[in-house]
Amino acid sequence: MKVSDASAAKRLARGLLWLLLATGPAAAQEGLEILIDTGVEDPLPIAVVPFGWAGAPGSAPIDLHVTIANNLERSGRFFTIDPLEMPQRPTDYSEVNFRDWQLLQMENLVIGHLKETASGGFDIEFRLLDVYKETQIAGFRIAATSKQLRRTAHRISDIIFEKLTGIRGAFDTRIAYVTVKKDSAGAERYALQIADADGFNPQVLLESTQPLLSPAWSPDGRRLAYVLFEERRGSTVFLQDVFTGAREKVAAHEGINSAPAFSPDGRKLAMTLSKEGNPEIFVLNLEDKSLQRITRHRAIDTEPNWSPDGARLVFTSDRGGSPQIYEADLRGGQPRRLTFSGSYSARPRHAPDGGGLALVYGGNGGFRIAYLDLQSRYLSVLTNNRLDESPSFSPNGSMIIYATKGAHGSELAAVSADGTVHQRLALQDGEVREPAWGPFPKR
Amino acid sequence: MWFLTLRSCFYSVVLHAVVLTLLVVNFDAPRPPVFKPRPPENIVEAVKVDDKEVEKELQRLRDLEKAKEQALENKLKAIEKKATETEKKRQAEERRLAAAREKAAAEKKKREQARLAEEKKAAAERQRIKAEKEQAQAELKRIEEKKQQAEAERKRLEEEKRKAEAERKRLAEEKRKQEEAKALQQQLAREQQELEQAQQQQTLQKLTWEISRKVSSNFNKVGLPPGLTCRLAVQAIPGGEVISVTLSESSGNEIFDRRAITAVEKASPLPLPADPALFDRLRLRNFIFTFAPE
Repeated sequence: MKVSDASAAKRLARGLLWLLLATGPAAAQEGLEILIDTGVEDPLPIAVVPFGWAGAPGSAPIDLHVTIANNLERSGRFFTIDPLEMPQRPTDYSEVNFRDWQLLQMENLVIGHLKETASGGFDIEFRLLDVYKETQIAGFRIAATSKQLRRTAHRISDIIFEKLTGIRGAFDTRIAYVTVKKDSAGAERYALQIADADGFNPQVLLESTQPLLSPAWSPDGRRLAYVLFEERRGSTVFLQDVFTGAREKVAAHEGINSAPAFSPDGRKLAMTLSKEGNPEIFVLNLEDKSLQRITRHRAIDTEPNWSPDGARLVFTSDRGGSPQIYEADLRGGQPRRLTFSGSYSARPRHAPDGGGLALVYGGNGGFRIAYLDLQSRYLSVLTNNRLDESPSFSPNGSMIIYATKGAHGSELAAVSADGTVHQRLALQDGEVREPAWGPFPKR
Repeated sequence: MWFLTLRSCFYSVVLHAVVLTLLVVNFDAPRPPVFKPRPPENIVEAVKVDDKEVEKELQRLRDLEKAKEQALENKLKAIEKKATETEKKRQAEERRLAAAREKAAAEKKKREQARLAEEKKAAAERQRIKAEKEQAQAELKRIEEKKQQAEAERKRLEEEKRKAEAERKRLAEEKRKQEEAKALQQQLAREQQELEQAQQQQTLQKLTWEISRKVSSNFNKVGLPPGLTCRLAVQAIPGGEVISVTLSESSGNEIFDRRAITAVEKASPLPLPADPALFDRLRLRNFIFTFAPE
């Protein structure tokens, strides 16, 4: 209320100021004053010109412009043009004819060079240009090995994204997910994998004939928690170092051990345990291995997720008769229900800014990804598929990755946080499940 | 009072004198004989009387007569004496009276003189008063005349003043009329100007709206935080081509500022008149754009 009053007053003041300036003598002196109080919300037009290649004859080892343009397009914030439609393909600043690009209404231009060095490495030089101001917004030279080339393309994408949107890019991040393949004998083979955020460079961390579930990143991006079914034992929660492969069993209690989630400080792990008979939410202190029980209800409580401030947990519970999202304060107290619409809301994940939750929303014969605004309590459905599951926010909050049923089973998809841009990441053979978007790399 | 008393005294004295005088005259003038024939009656009565008796009576009558004569003699002598005394007294009185008369006459004369003097003095006084009165009247008349003169002068002056006032009024009226005419002219000029200004204002409003629309449609606010404001100073040429865009007031957000500049650049040419004269008259060379999306 206060906020709207203030903004109304501000608007009024602005209007008056405008009127004053438009009609007063100052107007005669300085000319017309024009207020722009509205605008459009369109993807930003950007042209990523193919990079120049200076090295061994033949083509460059990577088409940087393709990776960069795909990244930008996938974010939903940009639209790019095909090199075939470009009026020119400058690689140096001096070659740029800004007029040509202005005619195309391309607001920004990315040009650069990829150069092979004598030592077998590469130098990448790129410039981000403002077509209308006819100036350079950013320019970098980055050294890379051939293995780092793709990652460098992601880093360049991040720089462009941040320079033009003000939001830190999340292209140079990784996702973890579980794949399921059938081997020649028809047996299911599970694998825990990590790939670049665009799905490239997949690496297998663990393979199993037993089901693998619920990968979860540690906040520093070094470890993954996951659930592995062990023969004769049932579900077990493991922690595994992403770089060394070393793993540790952290929860192997009687009954269910599932749905691990790192606290924002990385020192605790929330999870679902049924060691006392009924699935309840517990918090495991990773340092002293102590367990704190959070929920006490005969219904099923599961899928915990930490609020960014680490003070609360959201989780799925059917205590109200159908699965809905609840929130528990770690200091105690009765959990409170957050979702009320529909007969199914599950698998909540906090947006990085804490302002909302991504969740699976069931209704109208399908399961879709939805966003619950925690302040307004407004729930907006972001996807329109039949069977979506496991949403996970990109660390900058601009994208949500999730698993959906595709032509060949479960596959990865992404949606921009505002629901406007949809992508499929059909990169893998077989099914891909439970994607988890990793944290930002250390700067 | 003493004067009245004195006068009455004087009158009584005079009266006594007169009476006495008369008395004296009465006794003196006839001077009757000492024996008077006896009255006849006595004789008639004597018929019965004897002689002795008659003698005796005659003796007694003779004695009586003799006593009477003696008494008369005495009385005469007394009267004579008295008359002499009275004469003396009268003479003294006469002398006294004469003196008194003289004195009175002198007194009277003196009084008369005094009265005359007084009268004369009164006459002189009357004369003086009369003269004074006349003088006063003359003065009064003079004053009156002066007054009349003054009145006439006053009237004349008043008249003059009235005339001057009338003249002044006439001039004022004339001036007022001139001013009114001037004001009317100015009013007309102003109205004309206002009309032109209103038309200009209308044109400017239309231009403003069109420019605002074109720039807004090129202002991409996607992903920008709310509440930012920046100002751009823009120069354009007839036909609307933007020749310079300067950030005059940053929003503090580099991207917001850049998007605003891009919006103006992309909107070039702005919907502005191509006629240089109109362009200049409307002062369209310089603009201030305020970007404040809601």
